[in-house]
Amino acid sequence: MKYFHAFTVITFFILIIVALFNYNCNNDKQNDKLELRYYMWGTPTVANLHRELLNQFEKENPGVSVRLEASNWGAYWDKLQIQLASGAAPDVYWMSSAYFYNFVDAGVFRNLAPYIKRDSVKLENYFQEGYPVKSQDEIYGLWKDMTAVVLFYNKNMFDEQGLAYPDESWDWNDFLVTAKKLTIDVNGDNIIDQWGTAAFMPYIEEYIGPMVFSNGGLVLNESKTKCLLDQPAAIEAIQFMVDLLRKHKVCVLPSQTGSVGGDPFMTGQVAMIQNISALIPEYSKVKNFHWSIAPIPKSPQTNKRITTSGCLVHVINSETKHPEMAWKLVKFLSEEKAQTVMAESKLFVPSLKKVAQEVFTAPPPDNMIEVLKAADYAHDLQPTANWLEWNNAVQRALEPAFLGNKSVSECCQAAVKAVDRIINE
Amino acid sequence: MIKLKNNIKETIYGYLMISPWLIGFIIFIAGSMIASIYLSFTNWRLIGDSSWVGFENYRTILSDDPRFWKSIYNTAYYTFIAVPLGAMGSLLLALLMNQKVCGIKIYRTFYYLPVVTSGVATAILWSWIFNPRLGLLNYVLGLIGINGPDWLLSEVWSKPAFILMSLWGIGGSMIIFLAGLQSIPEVLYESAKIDGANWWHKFRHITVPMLSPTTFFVLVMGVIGSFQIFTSAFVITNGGPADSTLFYVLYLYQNAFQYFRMGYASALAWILFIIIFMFTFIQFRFAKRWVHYETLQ
Repeated sequence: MKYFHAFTVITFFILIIVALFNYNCNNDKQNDKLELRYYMWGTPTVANLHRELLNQFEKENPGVSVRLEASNWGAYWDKLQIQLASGAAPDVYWMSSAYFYNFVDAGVFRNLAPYIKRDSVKLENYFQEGYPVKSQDEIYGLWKDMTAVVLFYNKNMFDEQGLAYPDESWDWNDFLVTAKKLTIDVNGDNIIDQWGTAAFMPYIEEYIGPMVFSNGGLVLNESKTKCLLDQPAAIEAIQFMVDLLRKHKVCVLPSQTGSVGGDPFMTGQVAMIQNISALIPEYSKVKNFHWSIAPIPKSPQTNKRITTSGCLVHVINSETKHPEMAWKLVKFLSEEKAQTVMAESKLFVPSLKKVAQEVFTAPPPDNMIEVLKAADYAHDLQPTANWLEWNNAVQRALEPAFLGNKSVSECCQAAVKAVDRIINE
Repeated sequence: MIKLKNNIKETIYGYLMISPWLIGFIIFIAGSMIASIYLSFTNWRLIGDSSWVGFENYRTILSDDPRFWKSIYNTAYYTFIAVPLGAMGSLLLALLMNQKVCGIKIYRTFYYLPVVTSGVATAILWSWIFNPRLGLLNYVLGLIGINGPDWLLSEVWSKPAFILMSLWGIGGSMIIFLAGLQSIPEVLYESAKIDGANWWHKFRHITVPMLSPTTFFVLVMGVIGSFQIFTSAFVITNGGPADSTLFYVLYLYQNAFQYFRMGYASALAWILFIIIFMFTFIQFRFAKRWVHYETLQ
């Protein structure tokens, strides 16, 4: 009798499993629609915007459905890696120009150069900086949006002190003088509660890169075989940043402001912040003060300003079953109609110059044109296969200087040592 | 004959009962572990080709990777302070919670509560507590006239901050100690009392030795757990400032999922396994000297 029970239970399970498999098979047969998988990162708002774009694409291409998969920035890369490794990668997905070189040599992207040539896509109509082109015959992505580092400033704070807004004429000295005037104790308790500027730890994209480039230096040499942060131009630029924080005390680290986990610019504790344009949607949520955008200040040494800029592209899985349709989707998203939707949302700076100039720059917020202008004086992020790794290494090496534990030149030498090791691996 | 048959039947049932766990273990854990031994001898990067590199990963880790030694130092620093401190704290708490006071169960629940909160939530909570300007900790220190440090922004104070944070979870070992305390027969204390022992004598000569198997368990599990500290560091500092909170598993994670060196990370994982194995082995070796398993029969 007992055996009988066991037998029934096992049979029952087998039946369920068979039924499940069968169900799947039937489903496949019924579903002769062509399905593409689209993978992205971002908030639900961003995902909804893309869902709308994909709906539009589906409408224009009957018989095609696009499944949208989204995760947050960190999980995106973990999941993508694992999907690529197990051969289950999405057909079309987002690629940041900084990560591009990590993947490209593994052959996971489809070469889009033949399609670009065939459909005569005009590449020159897009913002170029950071565009991951290996050569004329090897292009692995098509534009989505661009980012550039600019100077955001709190107009109310400038007005309260009767100061002129930052403009193109500013160099580091003007920046410092104004920052000093904006670092004040607002409520009179003898503790500073408003700062001229804020710096997150030494990130290359927002701080080290723009400052060093503007001062005539480079983070890596042109052939990307050697780190140049121990050169005088770089040391001087980094010293200026450290001085803002430690000597002049006009700069604050976000975690010191008490705006826990937040951005002290958004909480109205900081007058100016040098940051990437990708933060515009976040900053647009600010309701209790007006802000605007200016170019980053020039280096007084070189009288030049060079900011950093990158772009985001769509790539196609080299193993996709539907390359033609995937290309159609990628192209659709880079064209005027889709780019306009992105521009109107103000969530992204569209890569298509025309749309960016005509649609994206319409206020509010004002001065959005500065983001586009920044593209004209921008350097790329010097991407390599180990970009993230050496970026982190630079940050780690420079942190003691920002914390006041070691001299800048000492830290710069440590950075060079660590970076050289990584890029020459 | 019939008996043998019954035995076999019972064995089969036994395995059937544990089979969901066993199958899960074989497929998802044992399989991956064996695969990771192989991977640790390759330069696999998840995607693209990989090749056999022999002991190269191990050689690099041990002889040519300053961050490995940094992470070992940080993890050892953390473990050897946090574990004894945690064990002492939880024993003290267990002794308090073992008092026959009205509403003691409510207190026990309170002290155990932090253990069931999610690690990420705890980490974020503590990053607020450590905030140099508005944090609770520096506020309390300020009341007694101490100017608190920039906890998580200081290379010196970041590790002590994590040790303090680890004490948040002592409720877990408290429960284990409590169970240990309650299994000590009351008669022992009674007879000691008759012999004229004071509270210290009772504690030193009855509680401590009778509790030694529990203490041993708490220490072994504590060391294993501490060597694997990850969540709080990952959420709060991500290893910074200047690698002062780069703990071993965080470094392993960075290699595997941020820098895509799966082979290297696998080698790191096996080195950690050996380290933990060694420490556990040493603890078992020393246990013979101070752990007593006598029970009252």
